[in-house]
This record gives sequence, structure tokens and C-alpha cells, in this order.
Amino acid sequence: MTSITLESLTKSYGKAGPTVVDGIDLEVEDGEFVVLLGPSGCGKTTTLRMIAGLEKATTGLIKFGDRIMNEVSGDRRNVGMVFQNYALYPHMSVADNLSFGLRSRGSTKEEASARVDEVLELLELSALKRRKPKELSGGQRQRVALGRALVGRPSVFLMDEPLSNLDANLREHMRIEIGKLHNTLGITTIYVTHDQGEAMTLADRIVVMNNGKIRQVAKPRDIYNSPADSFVAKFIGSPGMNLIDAELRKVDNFFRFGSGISIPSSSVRFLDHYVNERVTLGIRPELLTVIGSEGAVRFSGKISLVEQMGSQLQTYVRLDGSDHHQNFIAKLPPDTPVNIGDQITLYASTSDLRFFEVEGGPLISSAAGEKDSPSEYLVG
Amino acid sequence: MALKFSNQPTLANEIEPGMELEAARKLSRQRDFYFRVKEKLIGYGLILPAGAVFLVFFYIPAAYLLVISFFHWGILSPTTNFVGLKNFRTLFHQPLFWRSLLNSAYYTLVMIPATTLLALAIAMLLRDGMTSRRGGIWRAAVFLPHVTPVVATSIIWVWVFNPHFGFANYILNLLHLPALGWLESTTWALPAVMIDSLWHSLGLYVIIFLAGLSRVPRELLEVATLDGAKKYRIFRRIIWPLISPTTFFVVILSTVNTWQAFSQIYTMTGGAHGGAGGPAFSTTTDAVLIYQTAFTYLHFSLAAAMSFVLFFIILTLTMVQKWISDRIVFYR
Ligand SMILES: Nc1ncnc2c1ncn2[C@@H]1O[C@H](COP(=O)(O)OP(=O)(O)OP(=O)(O)O)[C@@H](O)[C@H]1O
Ligand SMILES: [Mg+2]
Repeated sequence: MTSITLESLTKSYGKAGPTVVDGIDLEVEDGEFVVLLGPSGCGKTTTLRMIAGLEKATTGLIKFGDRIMNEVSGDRRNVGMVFQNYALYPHMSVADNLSFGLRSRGSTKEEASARVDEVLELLELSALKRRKPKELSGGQRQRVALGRALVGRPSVFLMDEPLSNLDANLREHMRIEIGKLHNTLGITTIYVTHDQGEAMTLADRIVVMNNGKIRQVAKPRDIYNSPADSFVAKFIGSPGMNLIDAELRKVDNFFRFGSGISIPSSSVRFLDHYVNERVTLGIRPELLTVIGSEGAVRFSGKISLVEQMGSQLQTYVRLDGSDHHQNFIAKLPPDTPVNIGDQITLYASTSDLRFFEVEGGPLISSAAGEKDSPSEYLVG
Repeated sequence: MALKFSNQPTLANEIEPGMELEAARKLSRQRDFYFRVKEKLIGYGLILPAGAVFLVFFYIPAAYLLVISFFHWGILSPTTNFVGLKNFRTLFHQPLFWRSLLNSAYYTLVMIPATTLLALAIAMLLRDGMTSRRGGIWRAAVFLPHVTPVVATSIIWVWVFNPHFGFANYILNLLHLPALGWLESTTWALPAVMIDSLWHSLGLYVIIFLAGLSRVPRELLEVATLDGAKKYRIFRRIIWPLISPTTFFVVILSTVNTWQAFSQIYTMTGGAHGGAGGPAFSTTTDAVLIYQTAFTYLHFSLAAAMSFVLFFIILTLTMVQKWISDRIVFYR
């Protein structure tokens, strides 16, 4: 087992090709479970493949512990990898799929078979030992792929969207299995996914990526509560955080945000620096209510769509005076009387509001009261 | 289907409101029948050109061949008599016929493994450059001999194997090996033909293998690498089993092609001067003997019987290979 360090890791294809991984810095501790999360094409798989040694880094360093691995070939890195489509050897039985790697590394038949049995036992696959991959269900194939990656006692465990081919129930089941497995074995793991649910439940830390860059590395709760910038805010949560761009004015003891939203200035003093500038206001759909307390911030508008989700009503609101067709979404209790076309007022506590500099800029927080370079973010 | 749909409106028009139900049904049934016949006719019509070519140049001659092998018939003989199995009996008592079978077997037994293994080796070398432009040039270079006319290039090979100033002996000389008589030697004439045949046919098999290799998923090779397998082990345990259907296809194809090999042997062993198959019958394969029996000695029915034996040998070999392959080839 080992820690993993990436230092300004970059990958571009061809001489003048696009840079698909763009200067990534990341430290993964020994035994940690880190999830790479990001939209399609942001470079997650490429990053994983560079760590596995299947792809050469263009620049930057990959270290396992203190050892620089850039020039170490894939067969010597001792990583176990699970591919999205399993990539089981189709002509070999389950047992042979698992023992192939052990035998390649010089185990005797007896050693290999004992170890294979051990892993099959762990994954409850013993009964399927003699089957070929095509005689297995999706979930069983998935477990064989996990087993094959585990059987060689890898020091690093890499998984590229391992559950994306499974149906919802099985996915949840396997997610729990993977979590348990990690708790038992404690292997340093990097796990790539699209699925925030997986990321939130499995990760010690989540790495959010976009366009080949890391946007934030944090614990799941912190990613959710304090997104580093408006991209992360929008990307995390389903649906993501509501974001409104508008100019900030100060009227008496209130900040006026756009045409209709007033915020008591006492609670958000750090916004003083941004008066008369455009900023982005964010509020999570699940933190909006229809009954407000004293001092709550109000959002009024007309309901344009209501989606019945079972446990809640996903309510789409066109805010009064909003200049664009942006949807403002609230998750309301299922018995809330809402109808399309109704006027509605939603409330949010000021402590739940988040502010960002415009154009995907960083979080404006009370701690970071000083602006670094405001002019960069000024608009018109 | 498209045909049916486009015809449907016409059908609806002809069933007028006043028409009796039974009559309407009958018309519709009749119509249905016509549609089916029409569709069938169009189907057969579409395969007719290819079918006709096959019929005229393949099935009819093949059937005719079987028929005349039971007759005594030559272009010069005045009568055509039914002789039963006499032609076959004559054949089996002729030492030259057995010699030709032996030559063919020798030729085939060397050519099949040589073709298969060399083509696979070249395909493996070319595989890595599949996408680059230089890969394309190499592929074209390997395939090129296959599209050249056999007779023309075989004449060039005759020069290559010239014992006195040919390129082959020049190479042997460079390697400090003794010069060979090649086409003038009873030992080396057939191997010389084999080299020409290999050069000519390899390209096709390389392309077939490249297609087979491209169907081995890249992830499998990557997983095997991460599993710590070295190049040879990946080839032996992953690639080889996964391309076995391709290998089987290549083996069948080269079996058929080598048993039928004729042009290169005929050209290289002096067919132009009437002496193909020499020296001393060392290159008289089945195909050469059939040709000579029919067109030099004009004994057509005997040649027909030989062809039938050849057909039977190829069929048997193919069936044996199929039987073996069902046990070792992995189909996904
Ligand atoms: N061999 C290649 N040559 C050129 N570009 C490539 C190559 N492989 C990947 N890319 C590009 O690199 C970018 C990142 O790809 P990558 O597979 O890492 O994305 P990803 O984050 O894993 O996406 P997904 O979630 O859809 O799997 C993509 O824009 C892709 O088009
Ligand atoms: Mg990917």
C-alpha cells in the first residue's frame, strides 16, 4: 500500500493536440478512497490511465510513496484496475481470469489457486468459478472484475466508472460492497464516476474536475456546503445550486440584489467590497421553504413547472424581474399546494446563501473578505 | 417491406364501398398472393446475376466433370462410351498420379504453416502502426504482390532463381552458403516455387489477420499488461485464442489455394516450353498433372476423374479442419 502524489501532471495528445489533463496537483494518502468526479470528457479516465501506466504523462510527476513512477511500465506498478466494460478475458473461466495475473507474476499453480479461492470466497463468487464471462450476469461480471483487480494484492486500486453498466438497484448494492471491501482491505483507491451519489457515499475526499483542471478537492460534506466556485456549486447536487447573476447595490441596511432580492447587510458584511459590481448568488434547491422566519431572504416569482418526484415536488420558478430564462428550482415537501401559474414566495436563511464572483469565479466568503483582483471579474 | 407499403394505397382504392365483403376479401387475398410472388421474384431477380455466373462457370462444369469422369472421352476419340469406374482404376494404377499427390501434399504441408505463421507475424508487426500514415504505406507494400499477375511475376522469379546470375544465389553467396540449382534441381525446384507463392499470396492473409487483430479489444491487452504479463504471454494466452476464428479461416483458405496452385508452377517450371512439372516430375503437382492430362494428352475423362479426386481431398481436409476447429477455436 502506498500514497500517490501527482505534481503538475499534464497530458496532451499529439504535438499540437489539445491538453486534456492540465497541470493536476493531487495527494492521495495511504489507504484513502478518493473519487474523481466531473463532466464527460474532463480528463478523468486519462488521469487514471496515466496513474496506471497505460498512458505516458506529457509533463509532470507521478509518485507512489517517494518513488517516481513515470518511467515504470504498467506491468511493474502493481496497480489493480477495473474498467468500465469489465474487460474480462472472454475465453477464460472466472477462476482463470483471476489466476492469470498471479501466474504471470510467477506464482505456482497451487499458490494461485489458493489465493483465487480466497478472493472468490470474499466476493461470494465461489459457485461461479468454472463459468465463462458470457455466462454471468452484469453484477457477477462486475464482481469478477473487482476480484481480478484485487487478487494480486495491488498497492493501488483504480476504478473507472465500475458501476455505470448496472441497473439502479444493483448499482446501490455494489456500491455498498465496494465501500465494505475498502474498509476491510484499506487499499489506496482512486475511483472515477459521473454519479454524485457514489461519490458522496464512498469518498473520503472528492476531486471535482473540469476541462482537465481540478476545481476543488474536499470532503464530500464540504464540497456540498462550500463549493469552491460556481462550477462546483452547479455541478454538485441534483439539481445543482440555483445561481443568479445580478448587480449588487446597497440601500440603507440592505443589499439589493438585482431587482427583487433584499439581504440584510449585517449578516453578509463581506459583500461590502462588491457593491455596484455583478456577483453570482447561489442557493441550494433543498434549502428553500415556503414559510419564512424573520430576516429570511425572499425570492418571489411565478411557478412555471412542477415535477412530482415522490418524496418532494421539484418546483420551477420564474423569478420576478429576472432578465433571462434561467430556472430557479425549489424542492418542496410533497403536500405543498403549488400549481403552475401561481405566484409564490420562497424563503432562505441568509446563512444558506453563497456568493461567487461572476463568470465561474471563486466563492466569496466571510473569511476571504479581501478581493484579489476585482477588475478581472468586472462586467460591463 | 417497402414494396408492400408502396402498393397498399392501390389496394385500398380498388375495394369500393359498395363491394360485397366476400368479394373484397377474395380480392385482398389475391392481392396478397401477388405481392408475395412479386417480392419473391424480385428477391430471386436480385441474386440472379451472381447466381447465373456461379451456375454457368461453376456448378454446371462441376456436374459435367463428374459425368464425364465415368465416360471414355477425349477430343480425338470418335466415340464416347460409358466406362463406369475405369478411369479411376486407371488413375490409381498410375505411379505418376501418386507422385503428383505426394508433390501436392508436400507443397501444401509446407505452405499452410508457412503462410499462416508468416502472415500472422507480419500482421503483428504492422498492427502497432495501424493508424499512422507510415503504417498505411507498409500495409500497401505487403498487399501489393497479391494484386500483381501471377504469371508475370513468376517469370521474374525464374530470373531470381537462375543458378548462374540469379539474385537468390547471390544472397546465398553473401551468407557464405553453397549455391543451389533451384529450378534445375529436383530437390530445390518445388521450394523455389513455394517462395514465389508465399511472396505472392502473403499480403492477402496479412490483411485478413490485421482485421482479426483489430477485433481484439484494446482493454484486454491493457488489463493483461497490468496483470504483469509479458509480450509473449499476452500473445500466447490472449491474442492467439481470441483470433483463432481468423486463423482457422486463413488455414482453410490457404489449404484450398495451395492444393489448386497451378499458374506459378506451370510458369516457373517451363510450361511455356511444354515441359511443366520438371525436372523429372519433381514439381508435377495434382493441378499440373490434371492440366497436362487434359490439354497435352487430350484425355479429358481421365483429367475429370483426377479433378474429382482432388475435389474430394480438399473437401475431406476442410472437414477435418472444421472438426478440429470446433474443438479449439473460440467463438464469442
Ligand atoms: N487517444 C486520444 N487522442 C486524442 N484525444 C483523446 C484521446 N483519448 C481521449 N481524448 C480526449 O481527451 C479528453 C478527456 O478524455 P477522458 O476519456 O479522460 O474523459 P473522461 O473524463 O473520462 O470522460 P467520460 O466521463 O466521458 O469517460 C476528451 O476530450 C477526449 O476526446
Ligand atoms: Mg472516462
